[in-house]
Amino acid sequence: MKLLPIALVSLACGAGLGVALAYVEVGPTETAFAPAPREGETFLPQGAGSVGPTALKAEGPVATVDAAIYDFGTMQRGVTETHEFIFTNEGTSPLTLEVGRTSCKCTLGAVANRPLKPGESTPVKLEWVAKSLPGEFRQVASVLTNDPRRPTIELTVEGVITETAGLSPEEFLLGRIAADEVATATVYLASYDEEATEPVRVEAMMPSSAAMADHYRFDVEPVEGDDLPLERASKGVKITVTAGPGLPIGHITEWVTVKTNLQDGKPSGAAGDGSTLQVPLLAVVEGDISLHGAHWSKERSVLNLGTVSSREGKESKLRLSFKGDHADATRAEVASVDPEWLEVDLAEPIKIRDGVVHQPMTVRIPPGRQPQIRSGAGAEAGGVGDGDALIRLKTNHPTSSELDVKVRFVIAQ
Amino acid sequence: MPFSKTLLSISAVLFAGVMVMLATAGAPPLAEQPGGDTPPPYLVAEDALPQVAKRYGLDEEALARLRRAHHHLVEHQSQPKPDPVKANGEVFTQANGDPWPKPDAAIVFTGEQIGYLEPCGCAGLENQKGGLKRRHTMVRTLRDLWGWPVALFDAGEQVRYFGPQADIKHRRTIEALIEIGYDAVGFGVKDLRTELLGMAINLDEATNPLTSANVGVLDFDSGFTKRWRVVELKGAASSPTAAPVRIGVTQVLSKSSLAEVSPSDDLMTTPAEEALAELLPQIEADRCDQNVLMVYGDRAEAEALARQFDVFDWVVAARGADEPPNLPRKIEGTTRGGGSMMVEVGHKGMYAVVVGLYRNAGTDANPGEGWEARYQKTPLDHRWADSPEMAERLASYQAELEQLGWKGLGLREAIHPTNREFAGSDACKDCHTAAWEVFEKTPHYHTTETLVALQPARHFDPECIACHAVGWDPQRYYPYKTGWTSYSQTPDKYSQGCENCHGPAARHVAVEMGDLEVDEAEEQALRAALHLEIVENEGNLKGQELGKVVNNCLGCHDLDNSPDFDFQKYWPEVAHKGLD
Repeated sequence: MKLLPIALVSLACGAGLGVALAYVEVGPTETAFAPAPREGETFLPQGAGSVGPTALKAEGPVATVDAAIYDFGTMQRGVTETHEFIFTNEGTSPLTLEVGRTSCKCTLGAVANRPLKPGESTPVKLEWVAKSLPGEFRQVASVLTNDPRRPTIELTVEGVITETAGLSPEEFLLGRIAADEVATATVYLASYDEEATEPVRVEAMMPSSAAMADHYRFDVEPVEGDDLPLERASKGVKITVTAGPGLPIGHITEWVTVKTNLQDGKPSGAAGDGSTLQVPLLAVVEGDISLHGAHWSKERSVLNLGTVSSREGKESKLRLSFKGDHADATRAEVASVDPEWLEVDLAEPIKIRDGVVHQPMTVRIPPGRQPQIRSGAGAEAGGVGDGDALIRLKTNHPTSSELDVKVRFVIAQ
Repeated sequence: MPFSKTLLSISAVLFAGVMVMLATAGAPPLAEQPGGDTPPPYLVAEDALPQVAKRYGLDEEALARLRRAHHHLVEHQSQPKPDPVKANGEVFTQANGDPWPKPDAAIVFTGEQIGYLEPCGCAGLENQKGGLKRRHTMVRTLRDLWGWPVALFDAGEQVRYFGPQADIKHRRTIEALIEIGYDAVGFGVKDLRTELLGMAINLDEATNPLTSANVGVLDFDSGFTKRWRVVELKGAASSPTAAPVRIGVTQVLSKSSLAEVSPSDDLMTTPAEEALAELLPQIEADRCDQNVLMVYGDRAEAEALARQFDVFDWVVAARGADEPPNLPRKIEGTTRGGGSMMVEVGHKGMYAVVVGLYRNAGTDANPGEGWEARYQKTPLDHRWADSPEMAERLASYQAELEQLGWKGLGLREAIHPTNREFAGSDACKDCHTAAWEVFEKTPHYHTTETLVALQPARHFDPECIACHAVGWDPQRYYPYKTGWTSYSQTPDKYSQGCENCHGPAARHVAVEMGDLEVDEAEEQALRAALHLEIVENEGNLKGQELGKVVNNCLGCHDLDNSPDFDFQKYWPEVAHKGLD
């Protein structure tokens, strides 16, 4: 039987051919190998820092670059910066360079259109327009070479983008507040212009189109550089919003209009002479009794269980949260359930901390229920079927004795 | 015919050898990836368009636009796609073209997804990186196809915005990460503004990956979150010892990040330094092979913590630069195992960073010592197949948005800054006939239906419809009064229509049609308010004038969704003038 040796030889040939085809298909590639960083060696990956000399004078073209990572430091947004990387041929035969791939936001300039002779150097320019959002950035571009040891050399530029003027934090964050509460939130607006002579002037207002616009008040006070929570800021203001009481229950996202005298980041003139900002104001307003759960919609007051497999059923865990002066004494119990087969369990309340008590609740569609739709208004009101299911809870809270939990689901085979 | 049989055998084995080698050089062909043989459909089937139109309440004209949108998408799909290897480089491949040797363990690092469950497809998905569908397939390729022992860690910040949609996104992301098999998932600042408690109480404690040393839901180690986890990976058969690899992991929010967390009764927080000091005895007692610290903070903060607590091999700075570096960097001033390595994960989930770990010493070595590592910044581009499981989850996410509607998503109509109302593009066509002839031939004309033709449809998603219908704020994802709400209520507000650039025109239309009488001055003012003039050399590229017209375009043609946008190149495609 000569089949086995033939198969082995063929497999070896196939593997070899495979490698060759793969090589042809994908082209020469750069390694992503990180040399043993665990044994006290200097971790000097390819493409990072100055590339070390090769142990022996290599034959053929040898590509080196002075420093493959360049830090632009701090850049103002919108500014263009360039850096020249110096490529040298430290080999014995001509080195060719070619522009490779770049990350989409930077540009690699043309490289030498003739091969570099041994010992010769050439600059390769990389340009970066700081268009992205403020914060750290990194852009990568590659140069392809005919150096078989380094067919691709990755060039990296990095740094930090800043605005000409800054806002910290970037929104009025009221967080989770009680409906009867008065809450405040603050943002600082500052100019980074070191030569600014005039103060930052600001007028903040809630647009009249906002819900309950008259429930928000804004106070502005000037703050000097060192007292601002923004590094390098020269002048600024502290804007405080006072909100409530009586805000609507649910999520609130409003846009505060902030008229400034900042012109390209430099304060000049009166509020309104410069740019106008739209600063988000965020809050979740809750009553003394609220419900939390993965499928609970505060906005619609509906527990949305979606499509439920008749065979599997579905369970959803929720928590009733009691807050305020009556929290410790408040308890809920099930008053009624429609349909009656919908299972509702209320566990013993858990004291989270003073003034906050949770009562776990589980709503369960048991397996084996017939396909049906319980969603929306119901046929009597122009909808479908019997409408939303309803769990009515009664409590001993002095002002909220009842709580209706609508449940929406479609049971399918 | 023995000769023919032998030749056939040689050919068959040769072919098998070729296929084996091709399959292991970088990512396997799409169809050979786990789940890649049953790609989820990107579009609805052409013959299903009438049913789709009926389901969403499209009238005959809208159905015609739907057919055009579908045709346009099919045409786009049939175009040759750019080679991802050429665009973004090879993966898991050594310089000599050989694939990585199988590691004793691998760690996949992700984070800073900031809402990008999937890349926006506006500019063609083949030009975009990221998304849970590709991430799942990449992980399955390593773990299931190649048999690597894999630990999955996410440094946090799944969402970017605030409100019900962010709540849903966070919950669904965590559920997806559990299905992918994540061992530890940290928190970012915006994650902590979501309905965390409601999500956490519905997670199974056995698979719940939520991890933070300095943020607890109700309390630390409450059962909803854990401060420190030890992941034990079965030793690879190829390992010199075949011993299991134990990887310890924790996560903290840095000082600056913690300062951005809003007050909440549900959260317990403590400074990162105090939390890590409390954990230190446990970390040292566990003597893991490798320790990981994920910091939701910038590089400087992560490095400072690494130096202060010199017990970590890998330190992640989730708030690092937008793109991860090509290789990790050693953190100066750290010593464990030769020094901690800094990992960044980039932004928007476009990359996963994979570290392959190779044990080159016996198991009696000190923790952290005797390891080598390979590193791969892995672009999640279209070399990775779409996972059917994740596609199903994303369809379910869209269904939830549909069920909740705009009200359930907390969206309220705002007054347009001009204080005017929208009329819809159809109101323009009788007078501006030449402009209309251009408009109805452009993709702008059927942008709403483009979303309907997708599988699943995206026109119930505020983050999509905001650039695909009339009368929404394109960057803040809320509707203006009289803007698009649905096919049944506002069928005339379809498309990326005239008023999205020129401004709301209801009063102008009413005056011109004789439904409203105003004086000559106001009539002229209403016309002037809608007039746009392209200035000389107007454009969005360097050296061009960033005028009012191009600024309008950039509301939707932004860096995320239209990275190649060049106004001077695109404008001729839609060029039109005012009145005929």
